[in-house]
Parts: sequence; structure tokens; C-alpha cells
Amino acid sequence: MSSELLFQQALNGLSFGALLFILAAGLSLVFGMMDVVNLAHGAFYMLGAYVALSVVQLTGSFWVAMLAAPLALGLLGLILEPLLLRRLRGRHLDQVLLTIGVSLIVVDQIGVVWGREVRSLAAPAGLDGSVALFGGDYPAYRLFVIGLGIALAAVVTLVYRRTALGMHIRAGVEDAQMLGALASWPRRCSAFSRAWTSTRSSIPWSSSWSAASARSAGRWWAASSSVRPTPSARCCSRSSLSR
Amino acid sequence: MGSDAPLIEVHELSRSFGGIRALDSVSFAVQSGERRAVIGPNGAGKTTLFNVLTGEIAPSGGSVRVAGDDITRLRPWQRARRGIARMYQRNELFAPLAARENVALAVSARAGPYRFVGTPSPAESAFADELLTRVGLAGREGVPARALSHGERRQLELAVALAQNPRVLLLDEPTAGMSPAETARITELIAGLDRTLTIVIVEHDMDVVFRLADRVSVLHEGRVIADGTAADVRGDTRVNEVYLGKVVVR
Amino acid sequence: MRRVLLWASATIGAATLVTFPYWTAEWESSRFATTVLRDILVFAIFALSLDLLVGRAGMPSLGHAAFFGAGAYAAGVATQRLGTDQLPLTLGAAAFVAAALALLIGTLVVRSEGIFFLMLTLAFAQIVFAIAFQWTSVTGGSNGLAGIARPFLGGIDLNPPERMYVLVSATFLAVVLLLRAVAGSPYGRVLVGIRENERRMRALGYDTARIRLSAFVLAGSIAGIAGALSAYSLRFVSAQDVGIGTSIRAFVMVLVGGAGTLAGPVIGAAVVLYVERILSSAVPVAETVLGLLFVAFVLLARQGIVGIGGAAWARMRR
Repeated sequence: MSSELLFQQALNGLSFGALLFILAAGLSLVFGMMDVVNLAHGAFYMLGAYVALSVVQLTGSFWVAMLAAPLALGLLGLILEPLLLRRLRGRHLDQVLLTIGVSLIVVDQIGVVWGREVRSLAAPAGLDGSVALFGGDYPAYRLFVIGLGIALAAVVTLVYRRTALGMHIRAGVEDAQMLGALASWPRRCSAFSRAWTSTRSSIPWSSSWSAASARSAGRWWAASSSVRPTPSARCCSRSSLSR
Repeated sequence: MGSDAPLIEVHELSRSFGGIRALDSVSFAVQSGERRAVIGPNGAGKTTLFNVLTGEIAPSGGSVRVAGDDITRLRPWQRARRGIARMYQRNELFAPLAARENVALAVSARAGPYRFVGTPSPAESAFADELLTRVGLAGREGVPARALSHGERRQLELAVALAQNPRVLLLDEPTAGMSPAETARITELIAGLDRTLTIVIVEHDMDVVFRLADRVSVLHEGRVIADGTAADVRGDTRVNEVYLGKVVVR
Repeated sequence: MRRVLLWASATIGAATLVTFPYWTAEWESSRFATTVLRDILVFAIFALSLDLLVGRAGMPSLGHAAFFGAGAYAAGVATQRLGTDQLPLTLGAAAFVAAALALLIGTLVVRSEGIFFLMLTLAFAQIVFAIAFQWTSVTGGSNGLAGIARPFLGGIDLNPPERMYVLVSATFLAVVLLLRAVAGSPYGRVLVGIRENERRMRALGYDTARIRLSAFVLAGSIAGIAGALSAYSLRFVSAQDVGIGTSIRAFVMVLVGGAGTLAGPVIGAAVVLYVERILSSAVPVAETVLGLLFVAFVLLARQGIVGIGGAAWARMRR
């Protein structure tokens, strides 16, 4: 294997890794902070890509879509969280079942609204070209995804380490662990509920963030190839859009 | 095994949680048929000791022998098969099942779980009912565990442990949360158990301890600070300092 | 007297079920109804096997399709490769392969509980899916195995639709009787004990990990039989049969019908297949309906249809 090819493959791995990181950040944020296991995360990711597709078709702007899709999915999170998930606090199994149901609905409705065939979306001007790197051409959009992943990682780290909110999260997590080690169930419960109260104020923020992650992750596919159900997007969906 | 060898032999047992030494080189021996109380203030390591004896928690060091066999590495179910039964401090019952079924599950453990056909044997149910009568739950056989009162659940806990037909019975605060009348009844019940049964009892109520125990071990901050007959322990100044003093004042 | 009446009506009910295609032969839609009923019963067997885990033993598996699919592939491969079309051999192969797979996966997952058990079973089923999808020489890859011949039972050709139906319904009844016996047996009570308080069961001397494994294998082999019946019925096996979608469908059936009961998974299978086969021709959003059902039952009626019915019945009698 030539060194250019090796380098390109490494970049491919990195950009796909960045995509997965953006996707996983939302998932683990919701699990870590809200103690919610969301198996509809992949469906939200998929929905984000389709919302972006529609916004691009309407406005012609990738950047407007980049803003609109997280807002739209954040709104969905704002509606779904109190409506469905709040009453399942601490009941992981029920959360899993419920979010599987949600993902079935979301994926099926995407098929109804956007059709069941493969759709594609071009990268925006400025990111649609290639960059010469180490004697080969590399798609600029994928470099953008890598950058976005690194930026998100930096923001998450900063929030976690330096802000009051991050402190609350850390306290909640450590408390739960320590009390869990003592195997004292009521105390563990109270630790969870404390973690819950301390993070409740940030729920709109975290759900929109998770949706945003799914969305921007969805974009990567939208621009790099086509909108289609990928294994990760379908993590819990049965119907296939390309069927 | 010689008749004078101890039935339970705990040797330098240690267990830490994070920085806390819940058990710190605990050693003691219990003779067959003996009734031993383990007392100590809250957090002394009593429940941890039970968890290590039943295998629910692995020790960080030391060993446990029962009838001469090292059981330190055995799993909880294997120890139960060797005749160690436990009454939990917080009730560990099968909430939706009837009292009789709770006991029957303990009885049928010996017959083995892999009986796919037929119904649970009438003999098991009869034995279960007999045990329930013994612990004072006659007439409550068909009531689900979750519908029993707290005191009744403690009685059921005891019946479940007895149903295992154990050699060693570990009682973790059998009278916790009981009314004086209930306490008196369960104390007499335990006192009247077969004298060949070896009993280790953790208890805060000193009247109960001195009524039941032949010997008493005192745990404090994970260490055995005294070990002797009830009278010895009553006279031990250090014990009075850390523990009994408070009780006497009460 | 009451017992005799109960047994008599059960026997009549069973006979009515098994002979369905014969006494409806005059109906215009007999063929269609027989096919739908057959598929309902196939999935009822599958859902019943899952409920042994979910409802009885408290092991929420989201990878049960692995065993359904393994049984389907085994039956297909056995008829196509081994040159035998004898039912005991092909169905036996399906049950055996599914049980072996369940033993393998079960050994790795039975020590975990709750959500972790669910995620691990899901992950292992996805591995099985990937193997089914890529091992083209055996499984046909994305094309699946088509044209699977229906088996013979001795000299009886089970190819005609009504005979195929009789095979499925008779197997269904056998599975119901088996699971009914298991539920009432000491073993069934032990599973409930593990569901309710595994810690206490260990303290009573039960090797709970091994018992959970035995339930996993038993449920897996029954799922394998369901898979084989599906392969004969549809004459087709695809990687979809091993996929997450099939696992989810079974879970929907158990949950909607009512976990921990014998009637629940059967009713659930009927509801799901009604939505997919009949309602979907009227409204093209079957998945959405299933999703809504799932959400509604998780939030409002965790006991399923049987639970709702039982509560209503209790109110009526009061």
C-alpha cells in the first residue's frame, strides 16, 4: 500500500470516527446526564439528515440547514422528553422499549414524508472540492467533519471541566458510583434523583444537543454520499428506505 | 473431622471499600451447635462479615472454613448447598409469591431446579406450611409476601432460611423494626431451635443477644475487639467504651 | 365436573384450530385466512419462546431472532444440502442448531442483567446477522435461500397449504402444552423466583446462572422450531429473519399481548400480524401503528392486552 493511500485511509478512518463521536456524544450525554437510554438516537440522526435535505432544497443553503436541523430536532426532543420519557425515570428497560417504538414511528414517517428511495445532497460551496494533501486529493467536506468533531470534543471537555454544570454532572456521576459501591439502594436512588434534579434545568439544552449531534452526523452522510439508512441510522428501525 | 474442631473458622478476613476497611484481619471460630452473637456499633462491619461468609462479597484477604473445608472461593449457591443459610437484614423475599411459595422455593432447592414436568410436590407444600406455623404465620400461607406486615415478613424470612435445613444459620438483625411483642416472640422462637444448629446472630438489641448467645464477638471498625462469654464481654471495659455504654444509658 | 368440561372445550377448541382449512374450505377467502392464521401461529410460537425469557425468567432479550433465523437457515440448509426431506430430521436440525447457538451466546450473556443483558443479546444477534449476510456460500447472503422444499412426514407430503397449516397448528399446540407444563412445574417456579429475586435464589442454593442458561437454550430451541416452520411456510429464508427487526417484532408481540402469560404472546402475534398483513393494505403506515402501539403499551398498559382484560374481568365480577 502506498503511503498516500495509507494516509487517505487514515483520514477516512478519522472522519468516520469523528462522525461516530458526534453521534455518540449525544447518546452518552443523554444517558450520562439524564439517565435515559435512547434507542431512537439513530432514528433522530436519520431524521436530521432529511430535515437538512428539505431545508437545503428550500433555501439552497447548507449553513441554514446546519442551523435549522438541530433546532427542529431539539424541538422534537423538547416535546418528546416530558411527554414520554419523564415518567419512565430510572426504568431503563421501559425506556429502551419506548424509544424502540419511537424509532419505528420516526423511520416509517420519514418514508411517508420523504419517500422511500435514496436521496443525495451535495456538499456546500467551499467544502465541495478537494484539498491536496500529501500528494493526493482529499474531499474538503470530510476534513470539515474532522474539524467539527474536534471542536465538539473541545467544547464538551470545557463544559465538563470548567463550568458549574460540568461540576454538577461530575458530582452526580461520582456520588452514584460511590454510593453504588456501598450497595445501599435507597441512598443510590437519592443520588440518582439528585443528579436528576441538578441536571433537569439543562434538559432542553441536552436534548437539543443530542438531536443536533444526530443531525450533524446525518449531514456527513448526506453530503458525502447520499441520504440512506445506514446500519447505524437503522440501529433500531426495521423498514428500509431503499427497499 | 474431630468433634472438637470448630464448625466455622474465620481466619484473618479482610475487606476494604475504597479507603474504608470494613473488615480488618477478622479471626474467630464457632463450635458446632454454638450460638454466637456478633455485636458492634453501626458500620462496624457486621453485615459485610455476613456477606463474606455467604460469598456475596469476595474478601480481599483471609479465609473461611466450614467443617474443615476451605469455602473462601465458593460461590453463594455452593455455600448454601453446604448448609449455610441466611436471614437478611432487609427482607429478600419473592414479593408476588405466596408465603407458602416463598418457603417452598427454599425447600425445593435440595431437589434441584430441573424438574420440567409435574407440579411442585404436596410434601413440599406441607413442609412449608409446617414451617410457617412454627414461625407464627399459620393462616397466612396463601398471602403474597408483599401483602404481609413488616413483622410477618421477618418471620417469613426466618422460615425461608430454616427451610433450607441448614447446618449454619446466619441471622442478620432478626428483630429489626419489630414491636416488643414481636421481638419477644421471635427471640423465643430462635431460642427454641434445635440445639445442633449452629447460629451466628447480628443484633443490636442486647436483651435478645444475652438471651440467645453462648458467646459474643464484638466488632469495632472492622476488628474483633473482644470475644468471650456474654458475662466476659459485659465486663470488658473497652467494649463498654465503644458500644455497651450507649446501650446501658438508653 | 368443571374440570371435565374445561378439558372437553379445550379439546374441541384445539381440534377446531387444527382443522381450520378443512371446515372453511367453502369460504371464498379460506386460502388467505389459512395463510394468515398459519403465519400468526408461527410467530405465536416464536413470541411464546421469547416470553419464557422475558415474562417468566425476567431476561429481556433483544436478540431472540438469532435463534429464529438459525432454525430457519438450518431447516433450509438441511433440506437443500443434506438431501433429506424428512420432517423429524430437518426440524430436529433446526432445534439443535438454534439450541447450540443459544448455548454459545447464552454462556456469554447470562451473567448480565436488565439493560446490559438486553444490549448484549442485541449485539450478539447483530453478529449472527452479519454472518448470515456475508456467509454467502451457505446462507445465500443478501439473496437468502429461496425455494425451500416443504418436508415429508414419513410418506405424507406436507406441501399442500392445508397440510402445512396442520403441521404449524399442531406444533403450536404442542408448544403451548409444553410451556404450560413448564410454567406450572417446579422449574417454572424457580424461573419466577430468579425473576423476582435472583440474590435470594443464590442464597437458597440455586445455581442461577446455569438455570438462566438452561432457560435461554430452551427458549432458543423453540425459537429455532418457529424459524424452521417459517422457512417451510414461506419457502424462503433471508437475513431479515435474523435481524433486529424480527427481534423487535417478537418483543412487540410479547409486550402488547401481555408478558408472563400464555395467551399474551399469542394475542400479541395476532395483533401484530393483523396490522402488518391486513391493516397495512388499508393504511400504508403499519410500522407507525406498531410503534404507536408499543409506545402506548409501555406507557399506559405494561401488562398488555391480557392484563387489561384481566382487570376488566375482575371489575365486572365485583
